Amino acid sequence: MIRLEHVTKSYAAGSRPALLDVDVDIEKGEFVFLVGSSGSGKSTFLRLLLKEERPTSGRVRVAGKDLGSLSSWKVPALRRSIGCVFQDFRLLPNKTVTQNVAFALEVIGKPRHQVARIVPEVLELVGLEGKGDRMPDELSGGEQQRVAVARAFANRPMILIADEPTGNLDPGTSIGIMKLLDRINRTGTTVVMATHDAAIVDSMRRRVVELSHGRVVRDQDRGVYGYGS
Amino acid sequence: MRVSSVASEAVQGLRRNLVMSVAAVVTVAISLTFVGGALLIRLTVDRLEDALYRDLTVSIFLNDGITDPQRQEVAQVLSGTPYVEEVTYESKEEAFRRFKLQNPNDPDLIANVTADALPESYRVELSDPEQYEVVASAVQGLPAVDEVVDFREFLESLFGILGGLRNFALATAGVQIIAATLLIANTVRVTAFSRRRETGVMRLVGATRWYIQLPFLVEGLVIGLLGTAIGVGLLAAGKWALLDGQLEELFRNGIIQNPSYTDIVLGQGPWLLALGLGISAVTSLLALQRYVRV
Repeated sequence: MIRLEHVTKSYAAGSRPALLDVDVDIEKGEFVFLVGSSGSGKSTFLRLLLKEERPTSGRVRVAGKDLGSLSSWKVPALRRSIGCVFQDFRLLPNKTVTQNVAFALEVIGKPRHQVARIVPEVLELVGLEGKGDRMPDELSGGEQQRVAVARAFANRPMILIADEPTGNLDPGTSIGIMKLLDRINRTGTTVVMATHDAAIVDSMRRRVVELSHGRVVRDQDRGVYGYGS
Repeated sequence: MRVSSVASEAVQGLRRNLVMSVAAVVTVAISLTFVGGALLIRLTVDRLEDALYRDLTVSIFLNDGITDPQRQEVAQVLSGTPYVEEVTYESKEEAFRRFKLQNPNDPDLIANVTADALPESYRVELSDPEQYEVVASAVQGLPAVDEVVDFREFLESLFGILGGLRNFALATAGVQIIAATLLIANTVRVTAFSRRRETGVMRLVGATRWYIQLPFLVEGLVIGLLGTAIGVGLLAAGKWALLDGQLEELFRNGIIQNPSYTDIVLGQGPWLLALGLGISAVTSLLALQRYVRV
């Protein structure tokens, strides 16, 4: 589903590369934690998958497409097959929960009747039934992140990318979000999650890819956050 | 894609930075007014040239007391000169009749002039009015010829003034169009900045570049449309106040035509609209490159 072959990414010539000769292969339906300290290259890794960045060298393949030869007008199609969740939720503050989720479907041209059917379904899936008319600032952080997950998953993407989705949440709320991501993963969606949260990684016992200074230093099935923890 | 949501986003964008939007609309309007003014001047000059050059004649005035052979000689030279299409002889009596016709409101003047005081002349029509010099040099110097007068000389100075006006209007329009471009770019950018969350989400979930740009394009087009409408209105108002009002005498003799409202609205409106919309569309698309790059 996702394959990085000898990928190196340097932002400025001469500086230390953000990723160095990274080789990672992620199968369909896998749940992968991407761990490592700040600046280790986790975000660059995720941005490469969305073709927000191009690798300096090496090849990135996502859902059978070689991103290096993917023309720019096909990038929107690629992004429709990838859902994204971020630490800062990125909800639209002037839209209700329902409108936020519907927006993501409308702008990719989904017909109105489909949007009307999908939005309540996916809100129920993330456990927000009955809160569709709330504004984001009326919700707790955990609920806002559930809206973001609903938005990312509404189009049933093949891949869900989560960049520190629990970074702004307390441990109890984080567990709820992780259960949700786990449930999404069980529907067959490949999940790639960058995180700092050792407790979560340790409790989930999923595959762990650890980056350090841009290199993969560990790739372990059913791993834990780190040997030091 | 929903027309209503695109339209409402564009209107929201315009309201969000109302001052800048108004400035952009006004600048578009003023620049198009100047462009329209320049076009109107050109239209008037073209019509004037058509009307005057069509039966423009070179007049060859003859000396008093010339002999018949001398008179014949001029006619002969003329008939052998290239570009000469038609030669008409005008006697002193005919000249006097025409003089009376040209000054019907001035009986005192007519009373003081006799047919004898007016020169006899040849009126020459040229196939190509530009070739006046050929005719002039052919007959100049003949004993019978007193003076060769080309009406173009009078017209040229008039056209010179009109041409200067037109160039001034075009130059002003050019400066205004640059200002309009910058203002539209700025207006659209401010909107893009205030909507960067939305465009960010749109990019992320895979909206096409076209879909993301459309509301901004519509916003630019609304500016262009309003600006053009006001510009055409200003032109019409200018015609009413200036041409129909202060300069009305200029058109009374019927030689110079007063441009009509149809000329302004139907003749120039479409061009100005195309220009206004074109500028605003191109500008708003270019201004957005940074925000919609995939």
